[in-house]
Amino acid sequence: MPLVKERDLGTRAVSGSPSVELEIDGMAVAVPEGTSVMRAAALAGIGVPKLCATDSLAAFGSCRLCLVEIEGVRGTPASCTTPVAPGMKVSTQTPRLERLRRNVMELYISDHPLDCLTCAANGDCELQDMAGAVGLREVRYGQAGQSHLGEVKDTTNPYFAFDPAKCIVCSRCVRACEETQGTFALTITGRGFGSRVAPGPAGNFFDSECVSCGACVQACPTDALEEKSVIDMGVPDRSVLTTCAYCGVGCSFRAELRGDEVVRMVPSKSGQANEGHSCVKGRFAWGYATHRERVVKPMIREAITDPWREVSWEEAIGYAGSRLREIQATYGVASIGGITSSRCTNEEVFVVQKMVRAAFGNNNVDTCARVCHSPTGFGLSQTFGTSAGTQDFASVAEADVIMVVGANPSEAHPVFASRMKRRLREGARLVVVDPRRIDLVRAPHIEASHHLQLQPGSNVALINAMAHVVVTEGLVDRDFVSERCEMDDFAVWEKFISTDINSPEATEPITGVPAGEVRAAARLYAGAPNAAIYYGLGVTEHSQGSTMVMGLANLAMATGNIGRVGVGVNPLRGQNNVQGSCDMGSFPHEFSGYRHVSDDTVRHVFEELWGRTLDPEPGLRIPNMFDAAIEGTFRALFVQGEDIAQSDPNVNHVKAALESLELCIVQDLFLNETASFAHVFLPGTSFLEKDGTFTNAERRINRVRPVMAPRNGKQEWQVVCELSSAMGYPMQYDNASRIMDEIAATTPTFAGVSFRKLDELGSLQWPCNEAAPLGTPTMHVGTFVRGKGRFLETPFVPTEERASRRYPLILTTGRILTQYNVGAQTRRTGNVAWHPEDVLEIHPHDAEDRGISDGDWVTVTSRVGQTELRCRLSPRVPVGVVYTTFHHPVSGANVVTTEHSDWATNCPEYKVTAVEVRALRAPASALHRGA
Amino acid sequence: MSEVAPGTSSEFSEERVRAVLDAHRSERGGLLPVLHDIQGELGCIDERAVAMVACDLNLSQAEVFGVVSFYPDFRASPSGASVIRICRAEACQSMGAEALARHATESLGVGLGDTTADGSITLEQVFCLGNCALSPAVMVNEKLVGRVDSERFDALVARARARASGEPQP
Amino acid sequence: MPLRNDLVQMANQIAANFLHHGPEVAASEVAAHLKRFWAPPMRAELLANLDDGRLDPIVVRAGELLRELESAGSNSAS
Repeated sequence: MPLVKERDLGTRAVSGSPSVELEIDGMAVAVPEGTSVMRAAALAGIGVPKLCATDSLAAFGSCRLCLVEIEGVRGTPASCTTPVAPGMKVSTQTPRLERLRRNVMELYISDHPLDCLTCAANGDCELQDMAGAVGLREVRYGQAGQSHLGEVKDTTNPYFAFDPAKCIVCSRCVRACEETQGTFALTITGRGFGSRVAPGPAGNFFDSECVSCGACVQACPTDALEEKSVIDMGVPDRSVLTTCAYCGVGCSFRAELRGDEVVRMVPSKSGQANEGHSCVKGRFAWGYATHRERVVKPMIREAITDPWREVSWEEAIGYAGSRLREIQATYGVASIGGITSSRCTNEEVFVVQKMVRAAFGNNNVDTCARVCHSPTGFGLSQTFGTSAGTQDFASVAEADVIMVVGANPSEAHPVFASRMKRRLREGARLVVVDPRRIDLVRAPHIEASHHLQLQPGSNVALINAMAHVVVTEGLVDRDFVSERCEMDDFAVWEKFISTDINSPEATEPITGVPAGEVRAAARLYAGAPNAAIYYGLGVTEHSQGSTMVMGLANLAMATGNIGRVGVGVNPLRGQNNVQGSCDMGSFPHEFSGYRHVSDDTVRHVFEELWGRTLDPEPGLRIPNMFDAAIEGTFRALFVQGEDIAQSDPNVNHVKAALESLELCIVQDLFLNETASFAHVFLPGTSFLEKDGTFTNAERRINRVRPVMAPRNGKQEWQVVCELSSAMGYPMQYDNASRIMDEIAATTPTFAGVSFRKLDELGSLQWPCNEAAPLGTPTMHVGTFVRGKGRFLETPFVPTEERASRRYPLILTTGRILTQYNVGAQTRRTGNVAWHPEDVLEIHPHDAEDRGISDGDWVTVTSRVGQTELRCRLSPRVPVGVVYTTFHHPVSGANVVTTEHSDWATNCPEYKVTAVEVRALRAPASALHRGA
Repeated sequence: MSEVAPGTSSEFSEERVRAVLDAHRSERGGLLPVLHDIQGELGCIDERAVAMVACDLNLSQAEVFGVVSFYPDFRASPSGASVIRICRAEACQSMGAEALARHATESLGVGLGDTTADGSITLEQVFCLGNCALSPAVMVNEKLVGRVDSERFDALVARARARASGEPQP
Repeated sequence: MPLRNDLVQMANQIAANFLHHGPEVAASEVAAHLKRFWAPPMRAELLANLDDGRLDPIVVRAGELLRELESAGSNSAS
């Protein structure tokens, strides 16, 4: 594919019908009211020269290059800041305009180095383009005067450089940081000729407030802000549109390459999830794909104590297939199983679950969503009828009150956080429910109206208290409830929630949140024209995770906040394809599209197509597999792209389970922690090599296109098909799109999805079928998927994991912006510069009680394990709560997390672990821990 | 109009910045008044003060820093005990301001915008003090002086230095 | 062999979360939940050890109901 440069129409789109008719250079144009003359011209195919204007930002009117003449208007107004008017007659090219523009350009160039031939932006520079466009032929002022040519380049950011000499002070970077990203890390210092872009008082990008999202680099028209990869490699010459493989936002990127080397990843304006924005991970942290530690040859070994032996694909697959069959022959059909990965494509996941069900002959297939969002599946399907977020991301722009529960979007879903922050700056109110004072609670130009800083483990008590206020203060949307919900269930729920034990006053001792705050927050949410809930793993990863999801659904239904734009209940999915891996039927009790294996009609569809009798009983879930492995009844496991030995709770237990297996097959990019227990290693493909689809948190199915050939020589789905075939159940597809065709043929919610349609439309949000051929941005409009919405009682059943004298603190875990999950990818990129190690956040009072100072090494001990971390004193956590991330294997946060899990789904209770923290007297031991 | 109050302590003090912020708490758009008062209190607005102001007003540090840097009268580091500003606008230029500026930089051994090694004088340039009838004009701290030549300038410096040494240095 | 700890813990936890329905309804909800989400070997192990003293009475009752469900299910299947 040749290099695609997205068109820049100069100023933002305005919605509405093209009602204003005008004439530009003699051509008739019709655009919506409020459109700029510049954009109208661009839409008519007329490019007005510009430097400070770009269509992702509000018009600024500073560069004076886009001047036009308008009949009957004095002077030469800037076309970017001049709105169209009916009957307007615009000239974009006249001798006078030419002269003016050339003079303006001449001034710019008089203070700009004339080193185009050796400049990294040569060929990709708007200043260069504009000099050409205005016909600049000489610079009369020379460069002898005071200039900026000698200024020092800032190379502190790992991924981009700032060269002030190349800067034309158009403010696009500053505005992008404010308007697009919402961080406000950049400013113009000084004034007049001394004006200069600066990353705040720190003096350099790395030490500044900058979060390295790349929006400034994207906005820069010159080489002033340039990717280091472009400086090193040159300007790319081809591009492939694909989807980021980090979080559940699912940003679209143009991978720009030279040959088969990626030069840079550029966020695509056509991407409906991200609309041209990106974060530090997707934009810059893709270097792991070609990291030297990547394994690209299959390997096997008899015992996990043996060294690995590189073998051919045939040998590896043949060995794995025959071992699996041998184990089944000895221990029974149900003695083996597989785990699918939320990092892989829908197609790759679908074939793994198919292999388990059809070739293994059991339903022992589970997905890593088990340990993150399985309660979402349970809770939302019980109440609404299907397991998915109700809105598209754009919906947040219509929300008046936003409630963020147990999620930290600015760290974990940064591109969505930028959308949310934009809406908050426009005046939407915010309620944050989180034990920790996350960035959203108070960040430049954003402040939560209420931060309900609850005790970890008390979610359900809190949401019940909010619902209690709604019901007892007459805030229920009776019309919505009676029209849209099961009234019998509502009546039972109403009675339950009205009881005094659920009042804010009664729950205050449990949650620690003042009753008045709860009441105020509930009134704010219930009273809003549009109130939207966004939640994360702080909701699901609890022993009452499923109950809490139902509690959120109840609250939304009771207040009528479901079924239109601006409202809803939205899980923010942690991984790129959590939604998809769940959709694809990788739960042990469900086929694709969330249909129970015991449903005869559904099962017969698959039996007919696959030619095998399928098990009508649910299989083992991940934690059940571990327990059965230790018991000795579960003997072999296929693990697709997931590092369970690092990411799952109570790692020592997981390792014991893995050690007891006779056969462990790992399909991954790297020899991860889990691979230490594997007998067969099947090299996988990075997202840059994959061909398929990811489904993001808004149910949006995005194409993942191969940017380069698979380094391992095969697509992952091919490897799975070959393994299945080696086991005597042949699976064969010509290409990935055929797998999607099978998904569509068997799954009603995907019936209208195909690669061809995705390529045509860019993306599709399921359900996509005959009833909704273009997909479904908003769910439950008019009627719920299950018909009527169902209220469910949500009694607060406290976790058994409690603080005690021995373990007086509660440890909770989360993520940080620059690292991703277990860090297998981001630890192999420049992102380690920001977060080289996990740290334990502890409140200064708790630290003082223990004689701990900032930066000390400490031991963290729970009932199941102990680990060592460096600590940071932070008032972000309340007294009694400590917090850490789990991105680095060496810190082993999951050594201490316990096996407590959600009552309905076994989703682990990562968010509540009783611990004690002690200063480590001999910090050297921490430094000398074995890796 | 000057923010430089000679003789004020230039030590950073969290308490004093906090007191200024508290005093302006009820104001909307209080950034400029806050900055004026911090500079009045502490003689400068350093990085720590920028961070506190940003946090309190819910702005980014970059935004506050941008405002501080925009106004030449706000300073990021403390000035000398006295600040002498030489006007270099058109009227003063025509009456010898350039020569005066040259004399000033040479005699004090500092560039425009710098402070003498003994900390007694900060030399600055301004563009019009509104005193064109008495060009070239100079401002010493709060005091405007007209018709300044080299000799007169030296006398102003000497007086400023005497004043500085008469008072304990911070 | 006594019932595996993880099964005891999980079963009791499920019972605790249905307790608000009252013992009889709770038992049938627990039974339905086990049938829907537990793999047959796990259910069999539970049913074989309903006399394990650590099980919540609701679980024990649910086990009895589940046993009925299983035999009804095996009759109607095929």
